[in-house]
Amino acid sequence: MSQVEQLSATSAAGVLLDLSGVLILLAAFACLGSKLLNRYVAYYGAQSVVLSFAAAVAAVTFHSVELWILAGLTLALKGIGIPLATRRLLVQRLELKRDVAMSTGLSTALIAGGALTAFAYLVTRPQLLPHGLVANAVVPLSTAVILLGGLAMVVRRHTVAQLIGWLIVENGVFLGAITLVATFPFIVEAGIFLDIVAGVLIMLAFVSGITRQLAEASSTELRELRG
Amino acid sequence: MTALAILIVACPLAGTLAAAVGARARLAGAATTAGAAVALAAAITMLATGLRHGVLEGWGGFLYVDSLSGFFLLTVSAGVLLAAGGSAGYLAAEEASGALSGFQVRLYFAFFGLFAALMLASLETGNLGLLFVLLEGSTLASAALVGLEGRARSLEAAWKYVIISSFGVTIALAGTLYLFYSASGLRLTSNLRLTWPYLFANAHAHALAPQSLRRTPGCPMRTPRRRVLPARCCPRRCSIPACTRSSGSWRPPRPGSVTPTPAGCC
Repeated sequence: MSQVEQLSATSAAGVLLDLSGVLILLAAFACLGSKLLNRYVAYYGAQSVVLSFAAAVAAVTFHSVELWILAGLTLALKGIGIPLATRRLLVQRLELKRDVAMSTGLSTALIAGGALTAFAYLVTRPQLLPHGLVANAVVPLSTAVILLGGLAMVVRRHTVAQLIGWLIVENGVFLGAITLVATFPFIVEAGIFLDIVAGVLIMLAFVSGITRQLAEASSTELRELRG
Repeated sequence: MTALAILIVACPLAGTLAAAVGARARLAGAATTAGAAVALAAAITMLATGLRHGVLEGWGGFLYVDSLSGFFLLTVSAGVLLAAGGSAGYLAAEEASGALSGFQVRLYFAFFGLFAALMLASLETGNLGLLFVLLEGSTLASAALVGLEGRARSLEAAWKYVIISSFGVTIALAGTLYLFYSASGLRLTSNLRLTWPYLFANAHAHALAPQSLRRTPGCPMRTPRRRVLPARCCPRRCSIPACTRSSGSWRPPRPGSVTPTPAGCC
């Protein structure tokens, strides 16, 4: 029996985790609904800061050094590093300010996001978890964040926006991990972080290469390889 | 045996090493091919000698090779050897014709060795979390290979490849999370709770969290699990199947009816 299963929804840590889950979901909606690209990146940064706060809450509750390291890494890399790097690349080097390119309208995207959130509750809530635990409240939220990140990847046309959508999906998985199992084994957790950092570096290299070749780095321009 | 397993993973890194110290295409290609040949020989040796008598396990479940993964080590290392031989000639010609710069050739061999090593390592682990890490790493290394030329078409292919497969692997991480959670009732260390052979051995154990993963015996997979137990029965540890075994289908309890509590319920 892991420690997390004793974390009830009414304890102080449970309430804080629940609140962080709601804020993370709201940040995902803000990402989905923001038109300006640099604001989109800023909302992602805010989401990661809240996620690191949730990890810190879990670290205090379980007296876990690994979770403290995880919280610090999340804050430094996802909360500060990645938003700053993408913002610098986008706003200063590529001189892109707006991302109006969406494959659907803004309201359609938000309504689809709402539907996906409802769907996440539908599939996870009744069967999955025992009652009274904080995970019972947060796991549907994390599933919804995963689905919203996928939706952001679909409706946004800019390649950087798709990259951030992938990172939102990753945040959703981490939120679920913090509340369900506190943390993966440390080697696995460190490897996942290494992969994320390497992935972001490689993808940013691709994005700047694509931008040098094409005008807008929008997926509408990536049409050469259609079968 | 363990030494052989390490050898299989480490040998393809010879090309990475050669590229890191600045070898040209001919030399780096030769190093890669030689490394792949040694890896193939080690895989054949391991399959022929060690794995006939059992599985190789070590490092708290992080190392796990059975005869099936031995077979795949054989096929993958043979594929790596063929690819290494092919790319040694191809990249040398590209470098000679000036189509690729020396830096790009070194980048190619560095990522080729990483890709091969990570792919072979992912066959040697029994830990599902480490499997995710290695698969994602090999995806990234191969994406760098796809986008190596830096032209619009190759960058487009690399972008589509890396974004789609990273997303897919992240969904697999969510699945791994549920597996890990379902094993939280097992009396194992946290590493072993993600280790496939242990999970598999306990697949029917009542210790697996029933609400998330364990399949109730006799139930079809898609039966809705709803608790039909009286409130005094603790749901978390109870071993009652949530369906009628004879018909294999789940029926909601009639209002007012009392569900009998079978023996064995806590």
